[in-house]
Amino acid sequence: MASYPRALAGAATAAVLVAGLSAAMLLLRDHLSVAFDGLVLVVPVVVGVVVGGLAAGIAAAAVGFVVYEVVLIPQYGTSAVGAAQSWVALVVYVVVLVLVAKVVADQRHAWAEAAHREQETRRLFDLSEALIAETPDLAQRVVDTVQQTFGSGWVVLVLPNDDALHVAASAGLAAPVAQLDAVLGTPGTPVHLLEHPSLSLPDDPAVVALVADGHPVGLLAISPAPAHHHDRRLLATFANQVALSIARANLRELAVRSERLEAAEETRQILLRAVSHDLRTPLATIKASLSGLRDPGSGLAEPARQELLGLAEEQADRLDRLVANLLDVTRVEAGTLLVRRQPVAVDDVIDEALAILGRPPVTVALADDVDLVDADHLLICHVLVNLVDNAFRYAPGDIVVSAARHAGRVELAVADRGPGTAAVQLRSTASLVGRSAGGTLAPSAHLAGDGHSGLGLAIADAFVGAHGSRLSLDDNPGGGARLSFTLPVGRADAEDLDSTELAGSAVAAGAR
Amino acid sequence: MARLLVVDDDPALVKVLRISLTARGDEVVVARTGADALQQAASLRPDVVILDLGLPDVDGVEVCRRIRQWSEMPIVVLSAAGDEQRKVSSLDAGADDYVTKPFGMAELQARLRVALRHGADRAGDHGAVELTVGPLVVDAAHHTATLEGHVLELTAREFDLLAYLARHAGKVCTHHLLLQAVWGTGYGTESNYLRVYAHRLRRKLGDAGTMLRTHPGIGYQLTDDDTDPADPPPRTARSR
Repeated sequence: MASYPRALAGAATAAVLVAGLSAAMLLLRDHLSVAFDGLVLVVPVVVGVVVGGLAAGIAAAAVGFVVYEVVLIPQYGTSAVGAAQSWVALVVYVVVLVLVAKVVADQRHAWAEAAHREQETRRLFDLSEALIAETPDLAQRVVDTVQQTFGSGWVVLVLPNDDALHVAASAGLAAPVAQLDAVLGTPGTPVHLLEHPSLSLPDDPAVVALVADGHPVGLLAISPAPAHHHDRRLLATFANQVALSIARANLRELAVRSERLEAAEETRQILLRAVSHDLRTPLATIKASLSGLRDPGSGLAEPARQELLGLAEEQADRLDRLVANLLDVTRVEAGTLLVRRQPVAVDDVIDEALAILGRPPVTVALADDVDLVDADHLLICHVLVNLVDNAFRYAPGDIVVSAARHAGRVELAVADRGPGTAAVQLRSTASLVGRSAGGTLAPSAHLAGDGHSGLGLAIADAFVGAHGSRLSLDDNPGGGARLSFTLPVGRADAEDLDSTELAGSAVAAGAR
Repeated sequence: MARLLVVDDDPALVKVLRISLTARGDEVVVARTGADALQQAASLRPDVVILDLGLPDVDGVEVCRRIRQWSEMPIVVLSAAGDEQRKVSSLDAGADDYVTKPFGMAELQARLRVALRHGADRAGDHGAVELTVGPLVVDAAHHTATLEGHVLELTAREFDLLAYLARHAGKVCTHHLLLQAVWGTGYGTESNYLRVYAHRLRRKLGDAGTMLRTHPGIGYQLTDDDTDPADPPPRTARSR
């Protein structure tokens, strides 16, 4: 549709042309035929239509008609038309002009339409480009694209989250999103967005429901509402595309979540299997010894009977330690681990740990300058028990427990001649590799079906972490693995019993 | 007096087994790893191998398979409860019997006794035409089976099944092994066939039907060792 100023310009151009051509023909009108004059006067009308559209063309035709009839047809100066020939010329002139004006105007209209459609296609293409990309800020992309495409004042995308609606993204909005969110917050209550006093949303918006697969997935509000039917149609198409991509994003999120759940479930299974293996191992020994002792035909001599009883008792202790470790896991996870820092004599705590383990053949290497550490005696003793027990399970013999000064701290280490770090990692993934973000103990899937749970090392790691240090695993020079940690040097005159309640997160963070 | 090879990586359990088995007058040799076990089995030629499936280096099932490549020595597997799949794998790989941890010594010794006797039988009558299991005599050449001298009326398939079990007397034969051997290589999962045939065989064996033992979910075993283990069977199904 030609606009008003353009029509005026077309009419003016046509009028000027009519005047000019008529003036020229006026001088020669006695030598020219009536039909020739009519033919020449077609030119301004066509120019008028091209420049100003149909209305301008008709105006030009009217002006041309008057000039033609009054000035160029014999009996000049009057509206009277003489010869029949002149009548025919006049009628032909009018019919031709109206038809030409119509054709040209239709043509222009078709052009405009085509241009509009092309633009629409380009915008849709831009939108699908924006939606197809795998980005976390899909919502922001949507509102930005919509705002650009429609040249809107503001655009808001509202999505359901759990039970409530929330503003996923907005563009061009003066009020902060949080404010809008607060208005939307309560499910079950009607919300008058536009009249809400704290928002004062400008202009009259259009709100489009986003529907995918027959389910509503959100709302898209755009202001001002598109006026033209082209734009409204485009908005509807946009809305469908956006709804589909939101539904797709929801599905993807669901897939990721179920994958994570599956992995967590698998981890739990592995841990459960490993723990049950750990618990059953001492039970096998206890049952085998006791059933052998009970059998009247076993033929066991007294020293053998004593040895079997000793083994059963030793394994019962081992079982007890395992159960204690399991309880510790729950303490660590519940965040109720209490660290009572006090000066601890290193030789004393090592000795106590070895006593708990029944004095295994272990070499203790204490540096001369190591005396006290600032730590929780009970927890550190437990850590040492678990580290030595672990080393023993995999490499009995040649186990060295050492303590030495290191950069202003005391380093405690347990080194073995076992299969080395690769094997330790495999059996202790619970503590050293697979701890999940939430701080729960989670061994990685590497743990073999019959592997040990690595519970002891996981506990040791958590306890060392509660001291603000960490358990590190290295290759023992000359073969085997070496697990170590450092503690601050303790002072004998330090104020005793500075206890710290640790939150679960603090334990988890420190332990990593 | 037999020579026993105990393969386990838990030092405490190994000690208990050594003490208890030695007290019975057997000679006990110990291996802590799968590699060590293979070497000892080759060099010492034990009469029976007691093999834990969870070894630190080589999988116990693999140890079974490698021993079977060159020897028929009886293998009794120690396995954790709830690990039915690996138990079956080890039996398929050639193990003779299994004991589920934790086990009583009486049960282990009963299994060892069966393994030892049938192991010795097998070593003696390799390729024998006439197989004897207690009162049962299976004549492979004439396709006849007699129980205390009376001829049993058996269909061809019943005979094949009984003959296979008799040839492997003392061994726990898995469903898979039996189906493949008796029905053909296209079979392996149709354990319902076996239930039907085991039932028929037991009925035809009459009182001697107890010789055919069912290992639920695993397979069947033909043995004349009627001294049932003193311990009750492990209750593996309880936790599942």
